[in-house]
Amino acid sequence: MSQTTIVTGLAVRELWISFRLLLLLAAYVGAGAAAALLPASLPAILVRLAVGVSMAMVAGAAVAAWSLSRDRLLGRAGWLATRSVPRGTILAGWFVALAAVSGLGLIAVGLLGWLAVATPVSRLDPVAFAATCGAIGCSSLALLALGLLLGTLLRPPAAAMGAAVASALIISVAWLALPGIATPVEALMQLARLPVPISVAAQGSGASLAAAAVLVLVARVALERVDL
Amino acid sequence: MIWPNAPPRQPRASIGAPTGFWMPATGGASLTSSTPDALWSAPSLRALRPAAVSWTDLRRGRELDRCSLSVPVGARLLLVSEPETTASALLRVLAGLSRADDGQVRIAGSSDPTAAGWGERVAYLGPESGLRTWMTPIETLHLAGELLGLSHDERRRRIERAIAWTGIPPALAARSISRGGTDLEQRTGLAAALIAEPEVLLLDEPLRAIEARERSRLLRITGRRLTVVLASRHPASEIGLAAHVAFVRNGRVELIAAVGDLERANLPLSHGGIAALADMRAMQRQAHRAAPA
Repeated sequence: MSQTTIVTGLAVRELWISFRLLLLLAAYVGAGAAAALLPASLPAILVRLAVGVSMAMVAGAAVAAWSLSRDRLLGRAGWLATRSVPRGTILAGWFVALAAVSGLGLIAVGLLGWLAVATPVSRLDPVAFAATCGAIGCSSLALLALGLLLGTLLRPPAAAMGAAVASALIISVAWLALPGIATPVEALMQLARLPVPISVAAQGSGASLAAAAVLVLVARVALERVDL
Repeated sequence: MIWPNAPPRQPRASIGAPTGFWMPATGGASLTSSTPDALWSAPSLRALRPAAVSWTDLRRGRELDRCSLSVPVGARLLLVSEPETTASALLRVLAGLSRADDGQVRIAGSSDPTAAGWGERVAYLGPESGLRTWMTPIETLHLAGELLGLSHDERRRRIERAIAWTGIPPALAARSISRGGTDLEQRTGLAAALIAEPEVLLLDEPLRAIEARERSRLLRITGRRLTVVLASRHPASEIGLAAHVAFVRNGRVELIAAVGDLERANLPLSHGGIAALADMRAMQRQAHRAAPA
């Protein structure tokens, strides 16, 4: 078994034992349930779904920041590092673990959301909906990477708070201040009105993955320089 | 393997050095003559004695200032510092947990800290175990073995030996570490360090939660080729664990001496005693330099 697999498994168990995994899943499922269980018009459901998913992604960034920062502070990352586990592998383990949990949450919220919006009158394209959910998944990866970056640099409370505030700002500024569709959650909100939703989702995925890659790279460089 | 930082023709401090130890002139300490074991006492072998750990011109903030030392294979070195945090900081740099601003660390002849270099040949045990206390000792040790890439049989063999040495009760070995308290946590930390069968063991204020006599037993780890560097703020509690003491003051190694030298100078194995010996040696060195040829 590779070191990355071992560290990822360890991170998932750490999330499970500390209830952070449940918290993250509950945030996503709660967002889906709020959309699915409360009757409303299609635009209202989409807005509710987008806001709920955004809040879950913010929670994900905070959990990522808290987790890595706490691992550093308690010497757990150091324990791995003194067993020849490269620092990059520790980061990768946390990233994959958090991405997997967020992915599960997004699948759940996607299914619940689809149940809520897939009415005969809505005529939403399932492929466009799935592509938009996929783009949201990519943007959640970027926010997780942001959380890990802050977790590399700050102590747990500051890292979690900083990640939550920064991600909320990124989403809300992109949503409210920038013209056009700047984020995948914004695309989800306007899905019923978009002429080319799959194209918008693809653009959002690409931009989000690029941002995630840059942030993970910066976090890796930072982790190489900090004390464990 | 040839001791990389101390070729035979390297000039040494004039008063003489403990066998195998070497400190560049920039380190600025007086060295004393002693022989830690008969095997390495012959001059020809002494010249060839490899360094287990050597660090050269290490700098880190205000803690380390061109700090240099070479520790020979098999040495048991007590590291004491002023300020007291410096020894821990130095060990963390050696273990790869903290980054030095400058300088070089070589362990077992390699400057590569990855698993391909010296990564798997060094073990570190600090004041905080770094263990996940929701895991059981057995799980923790299996994890340590897995990370080292040990086969299942080899892992089991080493785990049995480590558990036997550290005295982890079988009843507690399968329960979460948090239930066994700090004592169990520190025993498990030591066992996890020993799983690697390291050539160099870096101990930073280890096992403080364990009763003194038992702690002393646990830290008398056998192995002629095992090198132990022990950082301590309470040198008096380390009696019998180290043959030599190094004193780091203001970021530099100021003294390397056999522990017996303290006794000969009527000084206790304490922070004050070691500092006093360092001062005495510094005065001797000055007098030696001032004396006409």
